[in-house]
Amino acid sequence: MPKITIKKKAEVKSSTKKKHILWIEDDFGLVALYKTMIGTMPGIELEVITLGTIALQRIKEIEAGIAEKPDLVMLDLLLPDGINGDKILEVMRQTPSTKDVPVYILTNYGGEEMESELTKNLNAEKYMIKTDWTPSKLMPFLREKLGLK
Amino acid sequence: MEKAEASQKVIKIGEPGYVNRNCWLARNLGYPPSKRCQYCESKFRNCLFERYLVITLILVSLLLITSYLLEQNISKLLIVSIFVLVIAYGYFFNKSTEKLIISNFEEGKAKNALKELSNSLKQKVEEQTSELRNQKEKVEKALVIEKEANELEKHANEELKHLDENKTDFMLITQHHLRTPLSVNAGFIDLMVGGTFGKMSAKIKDVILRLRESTQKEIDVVNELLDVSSYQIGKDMIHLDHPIDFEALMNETLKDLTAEAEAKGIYLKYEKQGEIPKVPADRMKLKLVFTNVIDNCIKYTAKGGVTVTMKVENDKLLISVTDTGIGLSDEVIQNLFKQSFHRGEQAKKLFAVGKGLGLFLSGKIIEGHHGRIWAESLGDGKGSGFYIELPVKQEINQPIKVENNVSTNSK
Repeated sequence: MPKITIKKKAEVKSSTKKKHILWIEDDFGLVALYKTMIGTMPGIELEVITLGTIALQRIKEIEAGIAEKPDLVMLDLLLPDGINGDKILEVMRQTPSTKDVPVYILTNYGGEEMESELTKNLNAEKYMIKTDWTPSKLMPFLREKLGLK
Repeated sequence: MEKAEASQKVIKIGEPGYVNRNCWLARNLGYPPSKRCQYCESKFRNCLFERYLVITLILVSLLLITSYLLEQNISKLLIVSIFVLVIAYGYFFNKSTEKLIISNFEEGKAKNALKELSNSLKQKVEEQTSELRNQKEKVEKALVIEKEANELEKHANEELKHLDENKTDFMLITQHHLRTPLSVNAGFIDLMVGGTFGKMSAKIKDVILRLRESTQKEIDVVNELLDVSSYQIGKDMIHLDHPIDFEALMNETLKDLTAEAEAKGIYLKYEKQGEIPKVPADRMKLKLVFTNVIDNCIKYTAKGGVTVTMKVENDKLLISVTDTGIGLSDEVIQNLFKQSFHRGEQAKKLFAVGKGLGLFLSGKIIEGHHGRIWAESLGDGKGSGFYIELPVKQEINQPIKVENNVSTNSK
């Protein structure tokens, strides 16, 4: 009997566990926007990283089992420390525990070559321009991708 | 100078002008005739004269002795015979020697002449060789210059390519920086309109909607900035990879523009004529063309409205967009798709927010689809018509690079 109880607890825990988004974004205005936006969306917890070096560090930690593996990554491309989104994605794809995590590029950098490189070669799910993806479009999109109603 | 050079020149044995006092002796000891010099030859000729003189003297002496002996009663026959023999010997000896000497001398002369000829030929050959050498040097110099010019050209082209790449990078970064604050504005406005920050009064909501509109306009301008930039660089490609449902595309475009037409109080209608087949086209870019053309018509129409029709004629898809606006002058029609930043004089008067770049880009995109785009005036003040013609049978092939030379002259 006690064993069954434990199992039930685990099931409950997993079903109520919040979806984890790792959002890599350096602009404070946009960080504030996305935090506000996610704040209105129950069932999602947000982790924001503003520097490329910290993002690479987090990938290492995920691989080592120290940090939690995200359900979805929103990735900006141009970051202030020069470790840009393409590099982060490349490292993610080379790291076993993060290589299958869905990554959505959310940037204002519109280079077609970059888009092709990231979506075709580095397997990014989608290349999105921030000015086009305002919250009213982004919120239902994220809910759908995370399997939330 | 020439004399000095001549005196310094060493004249070899056998050459004309050669003087060697030892030669006379040498010849007598059996040197071949070719080694004799002119000096020796002249000495030898003098020597012949001396010989004739000696022989004549001997003969005269013999004659005198003979006369004396005849008087002394010695055999007449014997003396006459000796006399004749001596004369014959002297004559023939001298004659054959002279012939030999002369022939040798002639041979020497001929050899000298040959040598002279050979020398002059050699000189000519040398002259021509040096001329050829000069010409060869000139050609080589020209080749070096050409090679340098080619390298310069190659370098210049690389530099130009590099500049183009830098320009693209610069434009992309600029666009990124312009977009970032705009996406913050647009994002928060979006959340406000969505009610994230609570219910707004009607007045505030009105202001927020205006802010949303102007922010969107600015986003459009920034987006267009890069479109033009990439077309200027000639990097943009037309991808004719999928057959496109033109009706769906047109409906989508019209849906986006309906609000703008309604806001102006004009109609926007679509009339289909017959069945429209699917045609391979670049959906995204064609949507840009439809949007630009229809949007342009809406902007310059204050009364009435805009009518879009689509039909297929002679294997060509013809899309017409006609309006009841201010119309177009012939001058404007001619330059409409050629120059960027170009708007008609009438349009300026109305202070319409025109996007001169839009039609220019549209022209380039249609060109990339092997199609045709043109405008016609329906009469002054009666409106204008824009026409797009696309071949129904497009070949699905490699991306087409859009060639361009954007003029930034504005009139």
